[in-house]
Amino acid sequence: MSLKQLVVLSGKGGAGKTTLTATLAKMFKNKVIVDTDVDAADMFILMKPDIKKEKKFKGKSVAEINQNKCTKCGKCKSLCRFDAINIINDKYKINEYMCDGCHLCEIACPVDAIKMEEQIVGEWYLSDTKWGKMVHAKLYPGAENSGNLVTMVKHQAKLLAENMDSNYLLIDGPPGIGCPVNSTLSGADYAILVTEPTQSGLHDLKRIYETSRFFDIKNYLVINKFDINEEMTEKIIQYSRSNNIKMIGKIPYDKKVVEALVNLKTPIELNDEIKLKKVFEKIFNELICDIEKR
Amino acid sequence: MELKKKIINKLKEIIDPELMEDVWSLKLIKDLEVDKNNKSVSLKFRPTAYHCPLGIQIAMNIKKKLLQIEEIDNVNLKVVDFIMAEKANKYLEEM
Repeated sequence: MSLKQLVVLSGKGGAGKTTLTATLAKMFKNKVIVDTDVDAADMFILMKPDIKKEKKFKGKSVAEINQNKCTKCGKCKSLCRFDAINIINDKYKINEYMCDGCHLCEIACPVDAIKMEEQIVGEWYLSDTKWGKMVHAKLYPGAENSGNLVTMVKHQAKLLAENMDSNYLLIDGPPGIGCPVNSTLSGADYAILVTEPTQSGLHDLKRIYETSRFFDIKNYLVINKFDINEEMTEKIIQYSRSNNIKMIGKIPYDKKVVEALVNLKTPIELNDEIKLKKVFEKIFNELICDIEKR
Repeated sequence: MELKKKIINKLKEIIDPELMEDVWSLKLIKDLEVDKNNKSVSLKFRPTAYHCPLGIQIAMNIKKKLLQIEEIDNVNLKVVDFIMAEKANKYLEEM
């Protein structure tokens, strides 16, 4: 079997992606677990990874002014299209958050006082967990290039999976529909779209589905807390039917899910919890059954 | 220096501009084979992502750089697992 990429997405945060992915991670055999929510990674909380390899991730370079060489001619400031150069205490200074790394000031400086400095914007990790190998990352606060870091994480996960002859990359995706989500979807085979029965849940389901469609992949639907608004659940089901999104499960609202999470566990790890275990097993079985048919 | 080593060193000069690492260290090169007698090298390049926006650019850069090696006259480079692989391979043949 060739390597298949399964992505869990929602279009919004807090819908239940990580809870579902972490639970599925315990059911899937022969997979590599991946967390591509690099801006706010949280899957590690449930997976408790033992980090085996750690590497820095480089982002765009940022300009730096050598004050000993600078003649204060002001050319750099007048040319900068990003308003990244300010005069502070009579010195020209770069605001690293504004600098776009375009190199224009470096090229224009008549006395070569400006150099571009490489920036480390995050870290990625290869880890062992109780349920298999995991590739994950952390983007530093305020840093950019999350889409590129996602590409790196997925690339490393793919290399690892090929090396181990794994069947699946099981990927906990980022919220929204932006750059890191697009990087996550690139090369994916299947997406599980997780939503909740609220107006914003339906709205964000439509957004993520429209995004996912561009990548020509098979979409599945899971409705979380489906019983808090059965009318909205019905609307979501109707939307999924009219768009050929296969529903593979509905998770009830249950305080035991919260109880599990605050104890750093997935719902199926709670002692004597049979009802939730059956719900997640059904999702897993429906998914595998459909994937194997293809 | 051994020819294969020269080729690898050249590949280490080619940086993926999104990940800021070279294509050899990123393990984007597969099936590298050198035929010293025929002054040729064959290899496959797999971009980091299926929809990589820079796949063609990096592939052409690989071929251009390898042709700079004196002992190499032919570079048989194939791009694989890439949305624009067909187009990229056509451009590479024409180079």
